[in-house]
Amino acid sequence: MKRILSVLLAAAMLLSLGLAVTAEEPIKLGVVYKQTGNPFFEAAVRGFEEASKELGFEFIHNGPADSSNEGQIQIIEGFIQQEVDAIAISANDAAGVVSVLQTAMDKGIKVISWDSKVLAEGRQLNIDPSVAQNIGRVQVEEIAAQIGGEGQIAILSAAATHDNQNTWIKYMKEELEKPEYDKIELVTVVYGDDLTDKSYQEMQGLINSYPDLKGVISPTTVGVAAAAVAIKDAGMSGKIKLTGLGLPSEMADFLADRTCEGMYLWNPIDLGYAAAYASVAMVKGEITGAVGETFVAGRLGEREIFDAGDGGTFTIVGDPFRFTPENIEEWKNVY
Amino acid sequence: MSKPPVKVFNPGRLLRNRELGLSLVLLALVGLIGLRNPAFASINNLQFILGDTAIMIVLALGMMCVLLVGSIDISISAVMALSAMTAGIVMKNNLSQAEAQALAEGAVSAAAVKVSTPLPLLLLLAAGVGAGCGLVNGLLISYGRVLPIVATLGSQYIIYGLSHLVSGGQAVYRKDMSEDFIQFTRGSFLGFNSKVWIMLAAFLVLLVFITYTRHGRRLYAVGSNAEAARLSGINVRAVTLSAHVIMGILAGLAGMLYASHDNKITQDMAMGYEMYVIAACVIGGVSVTGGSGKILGVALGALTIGVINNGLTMLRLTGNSEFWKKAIQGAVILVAIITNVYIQRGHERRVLRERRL
Amino acid sequence: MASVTGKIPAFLRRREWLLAALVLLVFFWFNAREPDNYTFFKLLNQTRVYMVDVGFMALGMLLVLILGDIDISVAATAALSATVMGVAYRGGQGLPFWLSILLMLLTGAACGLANGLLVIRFKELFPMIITLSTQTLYRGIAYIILKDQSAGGFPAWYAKDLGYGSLPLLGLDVPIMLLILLLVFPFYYLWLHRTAAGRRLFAAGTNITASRYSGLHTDRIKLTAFLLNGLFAAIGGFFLTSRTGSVKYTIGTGFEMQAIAVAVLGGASTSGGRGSVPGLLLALLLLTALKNGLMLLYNDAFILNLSVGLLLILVVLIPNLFSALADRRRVLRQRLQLAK
Repeated sequence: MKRILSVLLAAAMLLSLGLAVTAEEPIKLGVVYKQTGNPFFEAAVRGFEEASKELGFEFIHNGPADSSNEGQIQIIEGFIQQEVDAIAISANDAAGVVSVLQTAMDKGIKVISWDSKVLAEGRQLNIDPSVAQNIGRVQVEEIAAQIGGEGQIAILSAAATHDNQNTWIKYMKEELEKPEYDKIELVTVVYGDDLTDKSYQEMQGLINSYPDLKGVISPTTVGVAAAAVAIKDAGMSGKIKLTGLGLPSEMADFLADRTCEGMYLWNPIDLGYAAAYASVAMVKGEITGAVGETFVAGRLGEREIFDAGDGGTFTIVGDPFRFTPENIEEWKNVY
Repeated sequence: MSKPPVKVFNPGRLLRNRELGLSLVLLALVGLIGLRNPAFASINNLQFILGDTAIMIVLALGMMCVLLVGSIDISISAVMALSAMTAGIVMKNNLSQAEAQALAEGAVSAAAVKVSTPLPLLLLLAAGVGAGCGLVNGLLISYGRVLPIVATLGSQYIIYGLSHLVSGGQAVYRKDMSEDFIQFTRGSFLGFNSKVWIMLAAFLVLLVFITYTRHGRRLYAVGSNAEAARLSGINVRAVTLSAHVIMGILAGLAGMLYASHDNKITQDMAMGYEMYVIAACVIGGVSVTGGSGKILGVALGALTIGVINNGLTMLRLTGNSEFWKKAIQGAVILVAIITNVYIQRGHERRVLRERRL
Repeated sequence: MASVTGKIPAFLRRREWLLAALVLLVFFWFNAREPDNYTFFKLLNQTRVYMVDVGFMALGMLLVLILGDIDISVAATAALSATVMGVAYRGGQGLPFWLSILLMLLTGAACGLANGLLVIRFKELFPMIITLSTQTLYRGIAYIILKDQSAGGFPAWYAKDLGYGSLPLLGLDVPIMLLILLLVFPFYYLWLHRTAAGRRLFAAGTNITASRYSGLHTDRIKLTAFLLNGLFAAIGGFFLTSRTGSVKYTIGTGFEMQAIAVAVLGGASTSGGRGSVPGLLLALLLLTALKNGLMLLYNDAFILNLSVGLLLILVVLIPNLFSALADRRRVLRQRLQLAK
């Protein structure tokens, strides 16, 4: 332990020396995500790394182990202390981090939210992976197709304070109002808090309490993976259909044995990559986060900023991509 | 001179036997909940509850040993995490694909079977890590004279930190696990999940140890009166140490069961689990100040918690959400331990009354 | 540094000096490594995150520890009280804010009172077990009230001025919540170490049977201690929420252990009869300085916790080892004398 400490210390000292020597201070980003130990965010960090090689900025990243609001606040306070140039956050609680982010902005730190946004007064720009309506719509379409257009379905979400979850669920419910989904009944929405344990138990609860349950949508990578395990353990593979937003690497087995026949996601690497480019553009003053501005997000091309309708602005990365048992082999090692 | 007491079959006495009382309560619970929701009392579901509670029972067996000597260990969840993580990292690093067997029914492609270090070796590793943690705890408590709560509180932080270091910040996911490991808790034998059999094995071993070996009896002696035990020649420190090592080994095993069940090993897994285990022991009649407790009681205590847990879901009172359960669980545990106290007081009063002065 | 009524005063005095020395050591060590980011000025700001909420909870916990009891439901009490406040206020639609705060304090006191009643009624049970179940009970009630949602929408000054506000004093920006905490300390110290009430607490913790026979109402003392503990827990929750601006049933998880760690580090013993207010303050400072420094250097919450755990054990273990050595030396000396 001592050795690790002294090596790390030496490295830290050398780094600080190195930094002092360079003429121009490189841009420093502070990346905060919902939790550690989540492959989705590990992939997003790879996107940041890719961008940092291209643009030459530095970044530190962290997330609370228990996906708590307080944990994120602590991390943000630390970033403020280290005087980062910008903070890129995927928030556990859209309202809970506003105060501390405002303090950051008062100090001149730029704030961008990605994946799960912060309330408008706490950010300057939001990066959405795709248009939210689409994300909601495709999942409803998928589950409807899988269960044959009629039956009971349920939603296993993450946390009730996750803005992205609430938005997508809202659009899902809107989609379900359409006449073609008349015979489908959404019985309940449960929350797994993006914790494997809790999500698994919630899914078990659904299986035990709703004997007529035909399908489950889980728009969270932790949730859909836990749900798949629970369905399989209960021997209900194929009897309860499953879809949602899943990571190909986590869901590969379940797509192969058809516990899940189709699911969606976008590329988290691209998401991190775009968020990085947006943050740097903002620090350099190229954009301010106002409607109509554009910036170039590296290999993703030009991105335009729109009115988010919540008092702030946003931009998107791309469209959701459908994973199936047929194409999963190709993607399971990418992310 | 009055006649010696005749040994008559006294039904009252039977009822006051704690274990019997607890089993009756359990049956009553199952019956009541089953009335409301027949699916609950089905064989399938009951087997499911048993499998689910198996991990808690394994841990409670170890916790009982620790409580018996008058100590306590709140670092068990950390030990679970460290053991599972260590074994998991080893498994992950040695993972390779083996030739696929026959295509599973309905599968689109032949999923290659993942193999890694043999499972028994991994289990041994986990048990070893657990034993090591237990050793450290035991040394701090018996030889370092640090109070058990403080020692295990501190070691909890330290062990979780070690689990983080071992993991290198990564987690071990299903894709990093060997097929053996994943199936470890999913097999079934004679209709019961493999977890149940493992739990049963541990239960029997501990039963024999506690009841029939000299060392096992020493646990009770140390807990009832450490000073008296020392004066009778028992090495109190060694006995306390051994209790903690046993706890550690069982925690390591439990960690593997948990990880296999969960399909995921994270650096902070099982946080908070220790509280349930302690509660199970208390409900089962283990005295927290040491010296008394029955193994059957512990198993029944854990089952009670498992039944309540499952029952609340099945009754759909709680709208499918687990945490409404928490309040009720807390209340029930409170009621259970208070009832415990009253039983205990009644017992003591009766003993006093029956004394022939 | 005044000594404390209870066991060996000299020993305790040593602990506080040790803590003070550690604080300075830690500060200068980290300052040397990160001169830009780890400054006294910046640390002041960080006390918001690491010091104030835990500090209040530790103050309450100290009372219970001195009695030789323990209360692991404080974090749950804080969560429940804050929940009551959030729901009562309902973002401005409900009761006025001051009333919501009052309700919060009452909830905290009630939780503490409930704990206390259970402890004195069921003396056979270890308080650890009782508060273990009340912990799940209180958090559960918070869940019943709020479910998975969060309650927020507090008045702007709550977050802006209390949570993140500072007062310029002597050229430094001192966080207001830190000032409030520090203001409490002198009164608390006087009450605990200098009044008869405080002495009664120590007496009950040292030997409860003797105290009862000496005429102290030990039950009442216990009840008061637990009630105050609950109250302090609620206050801790209040400051925690001011930073986050929203309440969820999960807030404060883990804080009970931190509060215990701070109190024990500061000189309290879980077997009762010992405790020190200046020690607690120093322990708080030490942990704040340490945690913040580690966070800066390693950016890793686990290393943080690991170090705190290590520190806790070392601070308790080393004096034990020294006294064990002293004992052995004494015995050896006696044997040598006898052999002569």
